[in-house]
Order: sequence, then structure tokens, then C-alpha cells
Amino acid sequence: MSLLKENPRPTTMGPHKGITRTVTKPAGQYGTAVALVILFAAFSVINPGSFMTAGNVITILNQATVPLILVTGMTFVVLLGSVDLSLEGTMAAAGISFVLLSRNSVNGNDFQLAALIIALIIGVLFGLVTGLIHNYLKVPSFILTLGMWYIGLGTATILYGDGATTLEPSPLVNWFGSTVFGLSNSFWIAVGVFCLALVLSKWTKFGRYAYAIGDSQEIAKVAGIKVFRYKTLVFVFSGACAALAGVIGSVKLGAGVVEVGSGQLFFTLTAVVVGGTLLSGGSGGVARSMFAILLLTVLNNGLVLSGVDPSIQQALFGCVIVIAVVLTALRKRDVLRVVK
Amino acid sequence: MSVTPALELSGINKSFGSKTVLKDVSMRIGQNEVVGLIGENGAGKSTLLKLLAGLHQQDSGGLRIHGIDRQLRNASHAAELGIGVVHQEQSLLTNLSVAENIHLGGAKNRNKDAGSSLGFLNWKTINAQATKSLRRIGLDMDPRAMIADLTFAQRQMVEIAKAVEVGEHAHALPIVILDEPTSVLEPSEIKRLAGEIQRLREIGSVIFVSHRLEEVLEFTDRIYVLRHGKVVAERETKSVNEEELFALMTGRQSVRVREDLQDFAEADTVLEVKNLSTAGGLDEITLTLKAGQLHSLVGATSSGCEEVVRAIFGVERITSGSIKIAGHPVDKLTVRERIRRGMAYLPSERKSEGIVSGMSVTENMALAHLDATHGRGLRRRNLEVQLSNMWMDRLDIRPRDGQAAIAELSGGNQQKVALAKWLCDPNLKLLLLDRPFRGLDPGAIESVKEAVRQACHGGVAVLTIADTLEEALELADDITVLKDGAVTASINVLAERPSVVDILGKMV
Amino acid sequence: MVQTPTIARTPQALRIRTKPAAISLSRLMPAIVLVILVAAITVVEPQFIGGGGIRIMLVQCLPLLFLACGQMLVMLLGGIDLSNAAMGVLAAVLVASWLGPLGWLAPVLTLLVVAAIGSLSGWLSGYFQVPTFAVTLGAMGVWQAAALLISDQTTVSINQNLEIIGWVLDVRFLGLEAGVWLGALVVAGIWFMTNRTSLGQELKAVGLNERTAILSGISNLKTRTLVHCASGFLAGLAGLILTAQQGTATATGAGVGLLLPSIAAAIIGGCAVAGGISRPVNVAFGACIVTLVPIGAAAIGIDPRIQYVVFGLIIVLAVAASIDRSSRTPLY
Repeated sequence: MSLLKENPRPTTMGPHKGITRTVTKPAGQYGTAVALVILFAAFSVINPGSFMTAGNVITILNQATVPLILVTGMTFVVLLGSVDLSLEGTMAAAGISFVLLSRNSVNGNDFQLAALIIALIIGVLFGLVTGLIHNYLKVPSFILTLGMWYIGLGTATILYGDGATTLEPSPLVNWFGSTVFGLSNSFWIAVGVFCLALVLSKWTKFGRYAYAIGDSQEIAKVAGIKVFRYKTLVFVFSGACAALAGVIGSVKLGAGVVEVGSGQLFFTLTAVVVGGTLLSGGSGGVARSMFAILLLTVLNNGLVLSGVDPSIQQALFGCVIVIAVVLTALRKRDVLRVVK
Repeated sequence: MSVTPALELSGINKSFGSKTVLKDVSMRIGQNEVVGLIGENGAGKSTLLKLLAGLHQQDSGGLRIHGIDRQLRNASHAAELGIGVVHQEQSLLTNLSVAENIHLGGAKNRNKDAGSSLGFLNWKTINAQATKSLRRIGLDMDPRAMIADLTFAQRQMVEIAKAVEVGEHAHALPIVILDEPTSVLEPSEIKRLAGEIQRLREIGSVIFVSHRLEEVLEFTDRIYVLRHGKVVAERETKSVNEEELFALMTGRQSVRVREDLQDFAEADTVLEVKNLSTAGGLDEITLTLKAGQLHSLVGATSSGCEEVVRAIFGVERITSGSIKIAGHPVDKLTVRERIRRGMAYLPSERKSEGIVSGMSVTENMALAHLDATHGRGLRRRNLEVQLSNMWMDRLDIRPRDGQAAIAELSGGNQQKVALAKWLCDPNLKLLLLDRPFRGLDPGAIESVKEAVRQACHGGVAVLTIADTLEEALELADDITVLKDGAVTASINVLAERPSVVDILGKMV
Repeated sequence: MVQTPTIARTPQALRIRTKPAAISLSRLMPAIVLVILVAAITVVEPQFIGGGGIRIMLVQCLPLLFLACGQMLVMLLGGIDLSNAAMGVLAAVLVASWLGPLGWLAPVLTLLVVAAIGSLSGWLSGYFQVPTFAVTLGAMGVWQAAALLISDQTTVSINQNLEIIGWVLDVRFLGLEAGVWLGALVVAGIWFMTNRTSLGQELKAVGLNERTAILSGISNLKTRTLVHCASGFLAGLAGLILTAQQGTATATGAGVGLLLPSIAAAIIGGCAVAGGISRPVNVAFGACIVTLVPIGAAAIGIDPRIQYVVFGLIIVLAVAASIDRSSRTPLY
């Protein structure tokens, strides 16, 4: 009897002295961390004067702030086996909302914390809608979040109105920018989000069930996990992360622009893939994604310092994705393996 | 010991559409008893187990658990009432730990927040509970181990612990159902399992489903035999032997062997497999097929029969050995190239590997040899129609509509279409069939058998994996018995006239 | 070996001949929506039909049409091509740079190049068995960068030989630009290929059930490489048209934003993300719809900024309406 029709027969047959079903661990759990160290060393050698300075390290970490928050949310979504393409749209909508509600050049609002909270709520709402439509209307996450991306951008465009909306200094806004141990509070928030994500991954149902659903949605359901609920929670989390990133991004820009998240999707997805979280779900984690973000930011930074053309950087990023994905899949090649 | 049975089935009936799968099934499982359930494929075991697990509901008949009438609404309900199932396939989440899987197993019944509060998991409690569950069945395993790192045998232990956990929280003696538990175990691990079963008997009741009659005889107190959906016998284990069980299972005292056996010594060799080994566990398989011969592979689940056939076709990687078709080595060829050389393969998983749902009957038939129905790459409708008409007639495919979506045909007719895909090749030399009669009604079985016989008359060599020994003896010229990836017997039916028990002995 | 049948031939009476299935309403949806859209616009702007609005729309949507068709072919196999717009832009830049020195060789070479790079994406994905999503995401970055580098991040202007590709827009047959006829030819060609050739059967089989296809001797590597090659080629055509339209080419210009509309057009045209569906005609309608929505919105007086939201809603609703809900396939 089998409840699990989609489960293939065991990949090894018969009794074998401890041969386990081949569950591949992606190219080394510490592969990314090692690559990061190597890269760091390499750039220190190439640009001795400018790379390994306290100032540059601070720059790198500040640059990594927004991507780090984004990748935390995205990692959980990918663990499920889904994807969230809407983050740039959510960033825009939340970011502009925040600006419009804070002290700005366009209207008389001056909500402080409330502005932040409302922006986060917007992110939560986007995630909630995504989760509900995904679960109940059964729209695949890829297309759904693609649509939500448009909707987010559109909302932001409408809110943007006609003219430039700059953010004026205010207690909260200043707080984001002020530094502790030389690093901006935004960065420390990102660290906080990352730590929260680690806790979620190891110590909560939310995190563990995300892994379980990614491994096999069918088995998870049979085991009694409320798949719909946890999937929706993951999208909500991702939306909240995107909203927070949008707020911080807007604060960094000092203005409310629809393009606040431009290019972040590419960067975030690259980091998730390079970090070794499998797009098929169930494997990987936020720690890896974090190392990957640092890796890519260092790569970015190092290339800039070396005077490399930004277009070549982009090309390099593209190659990095392909190579990372190919390396992860090498051991699993099989005649009948279907990967689309 | 209380007299109330743990589980009582009375007059269970279940049909799917017009097909009666279970008829008037009555069974009694006592407290602290191990009851065996045997039957051939298609006897209804699978459906009965699904019913007990709450996945199906009976059409009529009663179910009593620990003396109380129950109607199992769904899987969770069954679990709540103490029924735990250890499946054939893995139902564990591989990237969670042992403790987490066990924790999930008892989730339904536990007081809401023991082990977790506000969504946070209390690892200490969860691990401790898991250790307790594992100890109950005599296991000393680290509850924090990841399922992905465990062997099959270890995972099975966890599944058993999980099933027992289910009963734990029902505040009743657990009823554990073991479905073909030994099919992936080594002999030493089977001894371990025997110990588990004894312990389970102490804390509850066990239903043990298996094809391996010798194990059923060793582990159980009583045995129920299912045939064609009915309980045909109930026996005390100590009063019955393998031959009797087999006879009860199949309804035959002995199996008739073919009358029309011939000698193939003079025929051309079509398939030569020498010392074939694969990464998946095949060990030095050797066999030979001549033109027109039908060769049957028999073995228990996971004995390697499927691997052999798939390795011959090019779908499993070979680590050593050679495969030759009509003298030409094919082990380096792709699937497509092997098909060009006259090979054909009908997999056992029809829906996922045999047919393309979404295409029509004709399109499915033409799929393996598209150039036969296409001229210079262009579709020739007249050739397609000719092809499908011919084969719809030959195999009696109903309805006779080449444009029909194959998804709308019955299983038997779908199988015939899948077969036609291969038979239509004039260059066909070797036909590989994996349990081709599975799930087919008797009429369809006859059609397919006839088609296969004709293929043999026409000089095609056929290698088939038999579902039952009866099937093998009825059709085959040669039988190869596999056990745990190696050949344990090569029998020429004409020369040796084997009996079922002879073969059974080599299988287990 | 073919054997003589022992089962008697079925009498004529038992043969069932069914008519081809009536075209279902959902198949006609894109056409219906397009007609409604055109009607709505005409109501507001009576000049639309009479003053050649339709013709202009057709020309406008050509690049998107080609990209959407390429996307459809990739989606037929269950994949996705995130790099098609990038390849289109690269093609635009290449042809603009080469027209002067190479003359008529320029478009030919350009098409060969993009077809080759498309094939590379497909081959990598198929050979290493990695998701097309990831490979084409990487490819997108690489080819975008390539376009920037080749164009030196400025606009590439064409000083001579523009007419070599310009004719698609200048020459007219029966009142329509040659380019439109080219588009029709491509759509017809794709239809023919998927429905009337053995390759089409192979593609459909791989898209619907890859395992069965492989076990029937169909090469999933070959099919995957080919559809991505086609996507590249069609992206190349899109790039050529873009250059012909503008007379110049920029790596950051029009075309970069056509990725999502191409996916939207394919989805509206009925393509399933899981694969197996090929509807070139409906995808063409989808491309027209996607092109018209902003025009229509402007004509009706809807704020063009709402465009994005409308796009998003249309995509979500279109897929929600057409998705196979049998839940046999897991949801991603």
C-alpha cells in the first residue's frame, strides 16, 4: 500500500551494507564560506591599499544590508520549493508609503514609527494575498509573484504621484543612519533579521515545516502539517522582509523612488542559488545565503576597486549563477531525471 | 488479557465503480496478537490497508476498535484511534530529525503544547519523548539524527516508533500495521525486526502484511488469506505450512505448466547479458535469450528484476558487464539507439512512464517510431490512421477511436496502446515487459498475453518480469530467479518442469 | 516482426469516427478579449479602426510577438527563458554595429549568433539537468553585459545600410508592413511545426511527460536545446525589428522591459507553466492584448501609471482561470 504515489521506488534496491538513499548535500556546506575567505584574500592581494581597510569593510557591510534582509525572506520561500519574484515591487510600494508617511518634501505627514509599521503591514499584506491566491486558486508561485511584482510597482507608481518625493531628516530616519561600532543601525537591523531567521529555522515549527514542505509537500500533508498555513506564513515573512528592505533602501536614497529595489531580485536569487539552497526546495538555509550575499558583495566591491567595468561584473554574476547551479547538480545526473 | 479484540472487521464491502475490490471481509485482531495478511497482487490487501488507515471508507460493513464501533473519517482520525501504519515506501521527512518525525506522528493526539508552544519547539521535550518512544520498541538511537543519514533499516525502525507513538496518545493499545516491511532488509536486520515485532506484541497488536510466506509463518500467531477480495481462509500459524498457504492464496494445488514448450537451442541469440552489475546493487547477472523465447524474471520486491530490465534498456547505469543484441554490444548506446536496434520496454508505471496523457491514442502508438508515420519529418495522417486501425483491431482496443484522448481509456486499453507502440516496429527484436498484466481485467490480460505469444511466434525475444509465479510458469520458456540483486536460479522449464515451491525457495 | 493477426478485423459498424473536438470557449478567449479591447478603444477613439490604428498596433507589437513565441516554445517543454529580452537587445546592438561594415551579412550573422547563444542555454540546462530558470537567469546577466560592452554603453547609430533591415517596415503588401507578414509567417510556421512534424510530436511528448518521452527514444537534450535555440533566433528577430523601428540601438533601450510582457503574453495565450501546450495563434493575440492595454488605458483615460497594476492583475487572473486544478501535480 502506498499513500505516496509520486514517491519513486527506493533508489537502491535490496539490502546493502548501509547504502543509504542518495540525498546529495549541495557542494559542501561550508563551500560558500570557504569561497568567501578565498575571495577576500584574493582581493586583498590585488588591491592592498584600498581593499583591506576598515573603511572598505564598513562599506561592504553597509552595502550588504538590504540584500541580506531580502535574501532571508527569499531563502524561506525557496526552501518551500517556491519562488518570490515580487520583492522589487513590494520594496517599492512599502518604501514609497514609508516616505509619504514620514517627514517629506511633498506632504505634511510626520509619522515616525507608525510609518515604519504601516510599511511593514503593506509587505505583510502583499505576502498574505500571495499566499492565499497560491493556496486556494492554485496559481504557481512563479507566475503569481511575477504578477504581484507588477502590482507592487504599479501601486508604488500611483503613490509616487507626479513629483520627486524626498525624505526629510527626522528622528527615526536619522536613527537608521546613525552608527554603532561604525556600522549603521540599518546594518544591525539586518543582522537582527538574520539572527531571527536562524532561530526560526532551528527552533520553530515555521522553519522546520518550511524544510519539510520543501522536501515533499505530499508527505508533509500526510504527516499532519498544515501546508497551506505554513506556506502562507512564509510568503508573509518574505513580504515583510521586502517591505523592511524597501524602507531601509528609501532611507539610504533619501527619497521615495519606484526603482528603489531595482536589480535586487537578480542579486538575491543569485545569492540563494550560489549559497546552495536548492531551487527544488527542502535543502539549504539562511546561513548559506548570508555567506553568499557577503561573497557577492565582496566580489562586487573588489571588482569596483579593481576598476573593472560594471558590465563585466554583471556578466561575472551571471556566470557565477550558472556555474554554481551546475556544480550542485553534477552528482545527480541520471538518464531519467527530469528537471525543468 | 482482555477478551475484547483490538480490531474487528465485519462484512466489509468496497467497490470502485463496477469493480468489487473487497467482498464481505471479516477479520478479528486480538490484543497482543500478531496477525498475518497474505494474498496475491490484486487480492485486495492494498485496499484493505488503506481502509484501516482511514484513507478509504467502506461501502458497507462495520469496524470496531477496542470494542467500540467506529467510522474512520480520514487518516488523522485513524491515527487518533490508535492505528499506526508503517508503509512500504518511506513516509518520513528526510531533512528533519528522528525526533521531529516521531513528534509529528503523534501530533494529532497530544495535548496541544507539549513539545511546542507558540510555534516554538522545545527540543529537550521533543527529543526526550522520542527517546522514550524508541526505547519502547527496544531501540537506542540518537533522536537528533537526520533521517537523510539513516539506512533503510534504521528508517523503518523510526517509522515503527512513529506508528507506535500514534497509539500511545490514543490512550489505547496501538494497532500497528506493517506493510511488506522486510522487502528492503538484510537478514541480520530481519532478525532485528523480528525482535521489534515481539515487543510490539507486548504493547499492542500487529498486522503483518507480506509476500514472504516463510516470514509470515515465523512472526505471526494467525494468518488471514485474501483472494479476489474475499477472506478465503483463517489459520493458526502453527497449523499450516508454505505449500498450503500458497494453495490458499492462489486457489490452485499446483500450477499448470505450458504444454507447448519447445527447444530453442537452434534459434538465434537475441540477447546476451554477461556479468551485469549496477551501482544500484545488481551483482553479476547473466542471462541469454533466443529469438521467439519468452524468459520470465521472478523475485520479491526489490530483488532487482526491474533494475535488470532497465539496465538492459539503458536507463540504469552499468558498472561492469556487457549487453549484446544480436551480437552487437549495446551497453554504450543511448535509449534511442537501442530502440533503433530493435529493443522495446514497457514499464510497470503506466501513467508516469508508459503513456503520455494529453495525447491521443494514435499519437501514443506512433511515439517510439515517429519516422514510420512521418515522411521526411512531416506528419502523414494516412499512415497514422493505418497504424492505429491495425493495432486497435489486433489488440481489441476499445473504443476504436484513434483520436480519443488516451487518458479516457481504461487501464487495460491504455496498456494495449502502450504495447502497440512497440509491437508496431517491424524491426522489433527484444521486448522487455515489466509486470505487464498489473491492474488489468481478465479480458485485457488475455489480449495482451495473446499479443505477446504472437510476437514470440514471429521471432521476437521477450523478457518479462512476472507478477506471480503462476504467470511465469504459464508463459515462460525460461525462468530466472533473482534475490537481492543476484541470480539464485536459472531454470529451463522444458527440461526441469519446476514446481512453485521450487521457485519460491529460491526467491526468499 | 509483424505477425499475421488472429483476431478478426472489426466490422465496419464497430468503428467509431469522431469529429475533431469542438473548439472550447477557453481556446477562443484571447481572441474574444482582443476584440472587446479593440471595440472599447474604438468607442472612445473612433479614429482607431479607420485611421490605421490596428495596423500601427500590429507593427508595434512585433518585437513582443517574436519574444512571446520564443517564450511559448520554451514553456512548451516546461521551462522558462529569462534571457530572451536580453538576447533581443544584444541582437539589436549587434546588427546596428554590423550593418555599416557588413551590409546584408549583418542580420544573418546576428541571427546566427543569438540562435547559438540560445542553444547554449538550452544545452547547459538539458545536459547538466539544471533548471532553465537558473541558467537563463545567469544568461540574462551575461548577455545584458555583452550588449553594454559592445555598444560601449551608448547609443549605436546606423549611418548606412539601414534599409537592409528597414524594409520590413517600409515595404507593404496588401496594406500591411512586411514585418507583420513576417510575424504571421512565424506564427504559421510554429503552428505547422508543432502540429504537422515529427519534431512537434517530440516537443509535445517531452512537455507533457518527459519520462515517457525519454523511454520512447526521444532525446530531451535535443529538444531542450532546439527550443532555446528557437527562442534565441526569435529574440534576434525581435532585436532586428526594434533596430529597424528606431534606426538606432541601445543596450538600455526599448526591449529590456519586454521579458515580463513576453511571459504575460504567453500565459494569456494559454500556455501552461508545466508545459505541453502550444498555441501560437493565441499567443499572438496575447501579444496584441499586452501591447494594446496601455494604449487602451490611455484612450479610455485611465492613468497610464495604473498600467502596471492592470498587467499584474491580468496575469494572475488569466492563470488562475486556466490552471489545471486537478492537483495531481504538486504546486510550486
